[in-house]
Amino acid sequence: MTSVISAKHVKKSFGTTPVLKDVSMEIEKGEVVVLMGPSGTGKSTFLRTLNFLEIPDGGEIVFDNMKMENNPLILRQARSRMAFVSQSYNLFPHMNALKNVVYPLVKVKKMEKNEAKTKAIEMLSRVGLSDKIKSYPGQLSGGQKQRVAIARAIAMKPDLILFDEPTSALDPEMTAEVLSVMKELADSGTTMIVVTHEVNFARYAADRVVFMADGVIIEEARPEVFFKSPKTEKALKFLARLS
Amino acid sequence: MNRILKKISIAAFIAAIFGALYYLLSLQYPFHWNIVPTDYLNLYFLGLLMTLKISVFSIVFSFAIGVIGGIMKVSKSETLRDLAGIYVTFFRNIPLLVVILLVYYGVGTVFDFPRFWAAVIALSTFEGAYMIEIIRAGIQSIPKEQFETAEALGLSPKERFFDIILPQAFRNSLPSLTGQFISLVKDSSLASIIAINELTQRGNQVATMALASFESYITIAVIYFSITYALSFISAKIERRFAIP
Repeated sequence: MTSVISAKHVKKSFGTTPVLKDVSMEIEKGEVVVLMGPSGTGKSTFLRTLNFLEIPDGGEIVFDNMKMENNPLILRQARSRMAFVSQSYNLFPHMNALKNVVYPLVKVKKMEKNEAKTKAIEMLSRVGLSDKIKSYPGQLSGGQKQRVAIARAIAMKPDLILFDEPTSALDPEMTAEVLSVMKELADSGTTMIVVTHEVNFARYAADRVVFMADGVIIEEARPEVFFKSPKTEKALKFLARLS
Repeated sequence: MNRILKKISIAAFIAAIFGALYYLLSLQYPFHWNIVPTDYLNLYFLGLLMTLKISVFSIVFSFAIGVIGGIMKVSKSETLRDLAGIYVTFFRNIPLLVVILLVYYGVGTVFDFPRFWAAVIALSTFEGAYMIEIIRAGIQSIPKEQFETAEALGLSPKERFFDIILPQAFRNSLPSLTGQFISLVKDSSLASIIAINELTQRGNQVATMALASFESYITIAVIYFSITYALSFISAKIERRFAIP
């Protein structure tokens, strides 16, 4: 097994507040890792340091044998193979669903326009939105928007997809439709790191649950082990509050 | 239908008030509509052309200043932000009339450029300060996630700005920009102070020549109104054309 991304001793502070205190993690190809933990413990920040949306203060991140650094060429290359889906406002409101998927394919992947269109339509159908390709984000529901964002992510054929609480702005019904698309991705061997509070998703789709609190990783285990018998007091408390 | 009827009745009401006012005035002031504007149409026409010429040049330049300054105002560099900030503060705190005089009698005499360009430079730099604030607000109204998403996709700074941020910022700014363009057209009347033969100056000339100031100023008021009203009409069309569904 080869590691897709590895983070070693990552540190990050905002002002004088330390948010990440020495976080290390290694993700292998095809692995689905769910990152859980109380709010404000640095899960999202950690995810964002992986693609350098936040530049870490210390430590190193190696993505596909390439050391990440704050260099436009390296970042552009890395990001073109590392998709990111955030909580909301993922889509560009002035482009319809199709254009949202086509645009980065043409600009970042340098794909020919017609080829990109075919690809985009294929991906939008895969997330069940073949009838919405002409719709603008303003005409789509929250769940549909997130599915378009996922279609855009997978169209880029990334080696890794980062999900930053992709369903936390959605109501339960829409959450379900987005999670089912994500489960399907997980089943088809996509490497992904997901920050979420959705226990069911973690239980069924994750290969590994990583529990973070106060800027450090406290424990990690297979989901069936983690949810059944968490080792630490903090995880126990956290899970008690979730259910 | 009901709404249109309402609008018509309001317009009729206002027209009635103006009519009554006009009647009262005409008891004291002999209006000579047969002389002004009728005999001086060519002068008004020349004035209108000059006003349009100044306005078009100034709109283009001030918009350019607005876009450049607006970008500077949201840039990561403190120096650029301060530079744009000082510019805005400077021009927002002196009257346009003074700017025109400064450019014409001060800078203009040193560098020796014609009064037309003095007016265009003064108007562009002055109105540009306001455009900077409008563009800045337009850019800042875009959720930060849009910047991040564009960055996370691997788009270059140029693509991020020109394809993602600017089209949205422009749409958000359009109503305020129109307002500023309209102000600019009206403010161009101040160029008459340096004896440019634009509409107001022509109005002055006719007023003295024909000894009919009231008629002349009413005439130019109607012409200004028509230009600016047309501008807001066009802008509303553009807004609808570019509206995001």
